[in-house]
Amino acid sequence: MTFHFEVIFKNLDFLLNGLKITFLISIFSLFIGFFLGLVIAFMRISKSKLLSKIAIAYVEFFRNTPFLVQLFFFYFGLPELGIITEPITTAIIALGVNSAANNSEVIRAGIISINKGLVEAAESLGLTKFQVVRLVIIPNALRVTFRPLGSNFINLILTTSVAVSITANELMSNAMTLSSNSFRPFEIYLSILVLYCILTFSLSGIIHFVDKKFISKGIS
Amino acid sequence: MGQYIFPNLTGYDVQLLLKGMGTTILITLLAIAIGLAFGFVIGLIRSMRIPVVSKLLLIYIEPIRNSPLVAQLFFAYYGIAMVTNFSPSAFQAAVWTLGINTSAFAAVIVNASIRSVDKGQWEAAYSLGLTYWQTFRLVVVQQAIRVFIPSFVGLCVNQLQVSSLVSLIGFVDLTRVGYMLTLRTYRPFLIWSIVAVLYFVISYPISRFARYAETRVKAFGKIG
Amino acid sequence: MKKILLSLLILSVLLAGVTLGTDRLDKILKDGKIVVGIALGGPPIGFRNEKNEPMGYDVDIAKLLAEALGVKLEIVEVTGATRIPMLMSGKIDLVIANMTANLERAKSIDFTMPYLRTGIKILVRTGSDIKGIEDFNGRKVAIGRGTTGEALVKKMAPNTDFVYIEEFTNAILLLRQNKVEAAIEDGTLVDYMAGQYAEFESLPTLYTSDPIAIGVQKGNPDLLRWTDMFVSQLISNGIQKELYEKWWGVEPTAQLNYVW
Repeated sequence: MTFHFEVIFKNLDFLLNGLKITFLISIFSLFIGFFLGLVIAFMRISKSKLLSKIAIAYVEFFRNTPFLVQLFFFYFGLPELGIITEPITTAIIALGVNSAANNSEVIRAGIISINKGLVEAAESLGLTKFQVVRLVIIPNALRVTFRPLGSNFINLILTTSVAVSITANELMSNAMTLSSNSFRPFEIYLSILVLYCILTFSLSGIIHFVDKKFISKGIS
Repeated sequence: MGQYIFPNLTGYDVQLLLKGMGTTILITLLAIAIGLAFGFVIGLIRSMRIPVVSKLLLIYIEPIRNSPLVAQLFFAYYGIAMVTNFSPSAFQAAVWTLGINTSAFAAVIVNASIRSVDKGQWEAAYSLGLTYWQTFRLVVVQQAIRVFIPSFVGLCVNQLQVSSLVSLIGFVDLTRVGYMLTLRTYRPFLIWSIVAVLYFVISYPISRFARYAETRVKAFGKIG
Repeated sequence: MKKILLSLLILSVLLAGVTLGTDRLDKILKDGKIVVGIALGGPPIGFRNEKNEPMGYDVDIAKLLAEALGVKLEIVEVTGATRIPMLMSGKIDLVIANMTANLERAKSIDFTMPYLRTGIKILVRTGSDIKGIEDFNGRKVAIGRGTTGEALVKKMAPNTDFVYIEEFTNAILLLRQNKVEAAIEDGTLVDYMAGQYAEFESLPTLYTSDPIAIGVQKGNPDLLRWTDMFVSQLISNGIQKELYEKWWGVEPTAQLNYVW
């Protein structure tokens, strides 16, 4: 059996265009996922029973239904309500909203893990509730949550490949198009598996490095 | 032949959805079985820290855990057939890809569970004259399993969700049934809501069990 | 001594010829079943009815073929992207999937004589201002990966916003929700959809006159020859015409040629 990997090199720019879209989707949904996750986490631990219940329902829904189904629901279902949807934007929102559920659990664990004594000490120094949250809780929680959140982000990048099902022209989609036109699925799909791995490992390495150097020092 | 738009769902559609549910549960269970079998062996070997082999197994584990399942599915279903004499059916590709994918994650959980058992336990057992396997069987397993079960059940829940991706290689699972129904009825909002609820109904009880198991682990930890 | 060696050599060459002659046709007849790849994403050529059974023009042809061969028919669903790889890898014996026979594809697989002639047409929402491929530039058009339509649009309107779909029915949902302004596919699929739904119409222009043929894996001359004869007799018996009228309700526009 002969292999024809040259089809990859001849079409590298086409594949890399897809990679650009993958990055685009990933970065934007990362932001949505993080900040929304923060909100949900605080709702979950808030004293209001209503807010807490809503947060729990949110997390349970997104973790117990498939992302693909959520994506189809947003992309094809919402237009029935009059909302116009576009592939890349929908992918960003769906991915952001989904990852927020996962992130909120991680952040919640991080907040709970904070030594009560720290919070009490800060309060006794006369800091307001908001200042306590901003200066004590969030930075300390972040130290614990940085690596798991990083791992969630890596998962998010891998999940962008699902967006091919709603006609987004990201890496997976371009690989499929290339495969259909060159009849070389083995070489192409193997190569993008490797490409995704390279991406993931590099990011893992960066997260590990940043964690060691900047996050894991100081009080905790 | 001309009746292509059914605004209302018929009893037949309900049948299709139930069949889809059954298929999804079936392939998930098969994948979990494969994943547990392979994952246990690999995780066990990794935990024993055998010099060369343990590191080599990372070549299996890491690429699978760090690449998208969609790409793995397409590679298995379309790619392998192009270079070998074996061309898998959608069912075979779906179950085995999902299974091997599960096994990589399971191996990590198995390894972590075994390692979580305090070194002192091993040392105490050895000083009593027990062999590695005796120690493993009589002392370590019980403790490791309490750590293993919550994580593993969580993995099962996750694999149930990602099993929906097999619809992208045309395999008729619950998601594919939903897709077929949206084309026929033109009511994606309704259909995807129903499909989501059906997945939830299967998944939530298992998820709750994982959480329950986790609290039992913590409780046991306090006593032991 | 030389005579013995020579006759042994001739004998082994003959035997090799016999054992190497494993044409797919032999395997099909031995197994008693033929595996045909059919695209089920677009009526009336290939689709699934409410009972999820495959139906359509291509399905009927496959059924008649299996019957003529005296074997069981097994249908495997394929798409524009998968039909050729699956044929080449031996996953399926034949492709009857609205596949256009062209020289590029013929480098990888063999084609029988055409069992249908059609062309590429455009599907739009009724009243759209798109009148032809020239109008595609800068607009979203649903296109199947690896289809004849894709190659055509890349040549004639390279600035089109390509929205790739796996099956033609995806295009219907996209058109309906205004996510694309047009879909380009085989005329038979397009005309059918336009006829079914008043909200869609097919543009009159027929791009290319394409022979639709059955695909056979290279290296199987027996199977190819037999299938050729089957198609030819389908045409000469008038059955092809009947099938066309059954699924489109009109007489076929292009007259097909037959050899036997």
